[in-house]
Amino acid sequence: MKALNGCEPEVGMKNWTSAARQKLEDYFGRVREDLRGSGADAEEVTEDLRRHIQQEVEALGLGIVTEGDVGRILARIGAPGEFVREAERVPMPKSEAPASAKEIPKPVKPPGWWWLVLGVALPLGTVIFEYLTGACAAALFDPLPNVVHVLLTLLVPAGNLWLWLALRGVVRVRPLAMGGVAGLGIGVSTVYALLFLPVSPLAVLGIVVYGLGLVPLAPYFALATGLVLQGKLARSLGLPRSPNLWLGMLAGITAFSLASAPLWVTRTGIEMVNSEEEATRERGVRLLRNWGLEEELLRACYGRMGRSGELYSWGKRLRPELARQVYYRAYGRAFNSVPPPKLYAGRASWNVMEQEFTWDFDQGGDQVAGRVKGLGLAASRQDVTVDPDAALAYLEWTLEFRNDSPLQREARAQVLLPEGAVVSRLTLWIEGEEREAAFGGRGQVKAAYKEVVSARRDPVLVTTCGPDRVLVQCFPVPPNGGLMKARLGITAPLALESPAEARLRLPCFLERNFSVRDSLRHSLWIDSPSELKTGSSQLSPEPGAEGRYTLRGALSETELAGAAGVVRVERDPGVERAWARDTRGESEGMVRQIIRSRPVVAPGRVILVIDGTRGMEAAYAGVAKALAALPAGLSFACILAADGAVDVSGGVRPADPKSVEECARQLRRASAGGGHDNTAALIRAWELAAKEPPGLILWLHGPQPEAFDDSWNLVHRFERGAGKVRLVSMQVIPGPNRILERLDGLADIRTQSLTGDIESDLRALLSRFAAGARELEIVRERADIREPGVGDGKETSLHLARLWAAAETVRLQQKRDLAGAMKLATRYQLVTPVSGAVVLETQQQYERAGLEPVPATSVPMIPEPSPAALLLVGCGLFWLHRWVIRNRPRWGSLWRGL
Amino acid sequence: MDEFFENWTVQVRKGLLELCILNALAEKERYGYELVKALVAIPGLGVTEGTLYPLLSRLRVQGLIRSRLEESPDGPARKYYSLTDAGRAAMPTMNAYLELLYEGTQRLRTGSWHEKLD
Repeated sequence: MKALNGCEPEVGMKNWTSAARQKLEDYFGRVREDLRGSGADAEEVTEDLRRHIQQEVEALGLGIVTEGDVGRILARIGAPGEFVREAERVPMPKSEAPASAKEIPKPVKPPGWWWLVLGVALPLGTVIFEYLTGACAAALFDPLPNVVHVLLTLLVPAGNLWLWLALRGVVRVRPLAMGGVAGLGIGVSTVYALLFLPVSPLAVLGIVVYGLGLVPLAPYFALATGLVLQGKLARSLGLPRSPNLWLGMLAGITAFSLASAPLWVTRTGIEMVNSEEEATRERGVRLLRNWGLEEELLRACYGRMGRSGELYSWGKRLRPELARQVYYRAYGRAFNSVPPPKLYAGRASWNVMEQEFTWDFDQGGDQVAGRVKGLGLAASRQDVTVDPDAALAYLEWTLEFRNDSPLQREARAQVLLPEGAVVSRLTLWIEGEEREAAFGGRGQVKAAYKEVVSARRDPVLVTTCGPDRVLVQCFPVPPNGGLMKARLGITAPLALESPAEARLRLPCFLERNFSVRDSLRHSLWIDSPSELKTGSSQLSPEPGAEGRYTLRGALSETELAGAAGVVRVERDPGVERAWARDTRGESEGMVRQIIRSRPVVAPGRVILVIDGTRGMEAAYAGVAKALAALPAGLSFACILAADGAVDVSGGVRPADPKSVEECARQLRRASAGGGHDNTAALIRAWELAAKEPPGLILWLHGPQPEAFDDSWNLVHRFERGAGKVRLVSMQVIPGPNRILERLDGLADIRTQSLTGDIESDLRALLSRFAAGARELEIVRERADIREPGVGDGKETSLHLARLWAAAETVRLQQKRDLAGAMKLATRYQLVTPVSGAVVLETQQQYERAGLEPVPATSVPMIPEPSPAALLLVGCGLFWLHRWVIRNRPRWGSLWRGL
Repeated sequence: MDEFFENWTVQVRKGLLELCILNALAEKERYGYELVKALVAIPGLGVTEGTLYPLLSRLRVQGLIRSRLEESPDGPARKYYSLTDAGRAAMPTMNAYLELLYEGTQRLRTGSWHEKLD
């Protein structure tokens, strides 16, 4: 042993006394005795101890080592004693041995590096790859639809790594926790392995043929690794399987199921909605309303429902049109009233799909449709000039769009106009230059627009889409931060609240396919010769030039659509007549306006239709209170439009206090939820109202963003029963209204904007029907210029003629004289149900479409110049022109001199 | 009670010493003096150098650790110990077994032992 170790024991012991050496040898003798039968090599141990004692002596710095020194060292290091004796094994009788002890723990081979690659690196890489790129989500189904799925999938490689490290002795083994984690990983891997089962043969084929396809196989490798590692853990513990294995598996599968449950519920609801049976469809809507995933349904509205689970939709895809209806019915709002969902699963720089491949399938169509990513409103201003005595106003709304996406985009919006207003000017800026629109037949301008859009050039189109609402379409807003600017000129009558006060409701968006950032404010500048009033603190009145009044400020989109968007103006109550020279008619003439008081023709019946859509419940209490204003002697009924027509008043009742109070109580108890097609309730209301003509339907509603087939039955009734029932729409929550769109152009349809709260507006409306009540009526008519008395009253601008022409167009349309209506609207440059306005880029495009852009001198402006002012400006220009010509030689010499 | 506890700790420590040596060598090779000093310094283990060298020898004989001598310029030659493959395989198993026993013991104490590990 000495030779083997190459160490001479006497070396380093020269300064030891003989007694000290003897003491050490005696100690070694006892050690050898102790080590007998211990399994240790006695000679090796004594050499090791000798070496150790020498190091102790050196560490103590002893010059001479005495017996006492050795004794002290040996006393401290002690003898092998009982610790080194082999433990005696007492064999246990088989019958008494516990089951867990039947297998004696034995060393297992540490897991190799392959398991680290297959069970840790590959699954982890797969999860990260899928999380960043969304490749599987784009092609098959989304394996990581929410954060719980991401965490569960990350737990699989993390658990495998923990076991691998433990079995290789790198980290401490925790049998119970590790068994549980192994089970969880196996459970999750098993679920994913089953999900990928249909594509795994293709993946195997891909590896064989192309060397690609490891990613879909990652769950299988992770599962195999989990099984192997837990097996090794179990064997090392002497157990048939790891402790907590089943519990972990159950936890993994349960966690996956719970995380996926909303998705499965949504898919089930969508399948039910696709059913042929109406009862099943209704159950599907209720399921989605209560338990569905809004984002999943929202993706379906954009035609990308499949991001999560396309592979398992088994071909039962929900059409975007149907998805939009279902979305409204489930959540009570238009799908495009909320920001668009994330359509592709890719993240970070892999998000290119989101930017490049979210197509706008409705480009050039007739609907505002889905929100377009990257497109937003960059700036908005409204300039308004009011002529209160003539009870009219002219507004210009300039809109600038910005497109941050890499594709050309079309901006589309539905604009709510002031009551009775008409679009009379449309301007587009092309390369910084203003281009005026051509006015023509509705079909003609639409066709021209679509042709130019398909050629990807610059047009803008405005057409009507319901009473007091127009659809504005601009294309293309240039990509990568490009801007597009357009202006809408609107001629509006003022609503007379009394002979001394008039009201103007500013235009606002009802629906749009672009975003409006929260910080954006619509800049407003309203000018009037008399005092202007507003309930908004954001608008401040200030004196203008030459005794005029100005109201100036900025409103958010919500404020503009609410009561803040209503402006009141004082007027001279003595001015009942106004007139304007009409230069647009076929012959020279004048349009005169008379404001007169007339008795109110009370309706036979008032039928209230109240929308049951979510958000409307806030109005129920106000409506219930306002019912008290129903004049006695009237009959009324109240219908709640909630999944059909719910009779709140118990049929048509006399408007006595008892019946009104009973109805109000029922209404206060009513609840709203989801979205409801109001058509059935309106049809029911029409039937009730038509029994005692003239009937009146008061429709209090939120948005009706989806068109349902039954609405044609309603249109049919209003068309064929003209004059029998009048419908007044009071929209409580802003938004699109497909029912009103279909009723566009019908004489019996009116809209009334809210000017304050619903209670006061409804109370004011109902109290008009009291016996002996009178209302102000504005009559506009065209007259011959030579007619005596035609020029009595206040002279006003050409807008008066435009308002007359707009009303005349509707009258001709109702008489089925569509050609005459279109001709009149085009002559007066108006956007009506039969005509539209379009700006094209080149003269050739206009010629091809058979259109003629209006001359820049014929468009309305702010402030609208009076005919006398125009004459004065014309004379000035003529004089300037003559002066320049007369002095041309002198200008030439001046230039030469310079 | 003191005598009982002392006897019991002797039994526990007897079983643990070999695992302590393997764990001490898990990360790197150590030379004998350093290794022994590290183990002696573990509170509660209550072992001496005289106990440990025989255990090291026995583990070497059993093939779980290996040793080599290296000349030292400033003293006696140093003996380095490291784990063999067998020792590296046995160590996690022994640790896992100990862990299982410990957790089971704790669960018995807290009364939450419902699982049958068969």
